[in-house]
Amino acid sequence: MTQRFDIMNHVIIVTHGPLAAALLKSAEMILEEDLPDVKAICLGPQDNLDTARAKVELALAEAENGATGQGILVLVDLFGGTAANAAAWVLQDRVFEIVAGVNLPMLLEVLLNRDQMSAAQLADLAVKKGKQGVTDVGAALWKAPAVVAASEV
Amino acid sequence: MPTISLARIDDRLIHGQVVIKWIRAVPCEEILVCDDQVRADSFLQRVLSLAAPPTARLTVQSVAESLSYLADKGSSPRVMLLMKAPCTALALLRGGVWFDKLNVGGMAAGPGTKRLYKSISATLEQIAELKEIRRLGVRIMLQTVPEPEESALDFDTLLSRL
Repeated sequence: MTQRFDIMNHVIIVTHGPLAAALLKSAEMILEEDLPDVKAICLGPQDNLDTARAKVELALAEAENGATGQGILVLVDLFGGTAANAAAWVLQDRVFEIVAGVNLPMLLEVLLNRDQMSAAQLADLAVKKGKQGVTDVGAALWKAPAVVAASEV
Repeated sequence: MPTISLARIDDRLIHGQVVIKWIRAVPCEEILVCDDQVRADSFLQRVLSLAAPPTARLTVQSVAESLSYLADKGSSPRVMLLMKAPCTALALLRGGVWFDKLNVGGMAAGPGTKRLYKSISATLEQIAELKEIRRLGVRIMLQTVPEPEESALDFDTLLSRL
């Protein structure tokens, strides 16, 4: 039985280049759903801190669409990069969560849980799942125990 | 003694969508892959075990082993039964294993197949097997992800269109 909060956290992805849009597309493919409420901002080589900040603020406004007070989680690519700095700059005016190092495992977990917890909890989950998603597959394979046929159970 | 929480046909067996979405919709303690070929391939079993979620153990059985394991229905563990193709489901049903619903989630297109719905294609033989499964009283739902419910296509409806 899933617990649903009334608040649906908004999710915004901001990256250099097409990564944000591509991550979103990949997530939509895996989840087999369109995610029109998730905003992807792809910064270009001409974007500086000011223009990036404006784009983030615009996305925040679009995501809220009048329904202010919801939690917001912004996922960015590089800690210390323009996307991260622009989002962090907006923190001066409003409260929301930012997690850097966005990857697909992180994004999927965030999307699946965005109506289940507060934005702060969602940010913690993003960090945890993003890290957990980084694994050496070969090592895991050799460590995997032999699979049991349940006739032994 | 096991109980089948979900009986599902997906030629990719255990993969992202199954692990991410279906596990949430259908709680279970065991993911049972019933397939003679996979049962004979211990390397592939290990590869599949990587995809198993932390909450459920992966078991691989041949059809013969599953016929025995699933014969006595109980309440625990709850099993998500994964099969590659309708012929396996039919073999189990004919062998006395019962499930009242069969989820058809993924069957790749290939030579001789006809696209039924989304990522589900089938040969004429497989369509015949599905019809036989239906005739045995099993409700068949073509559904790649558990939500929304409306995304599921009832096999009866599909047949009326074919």
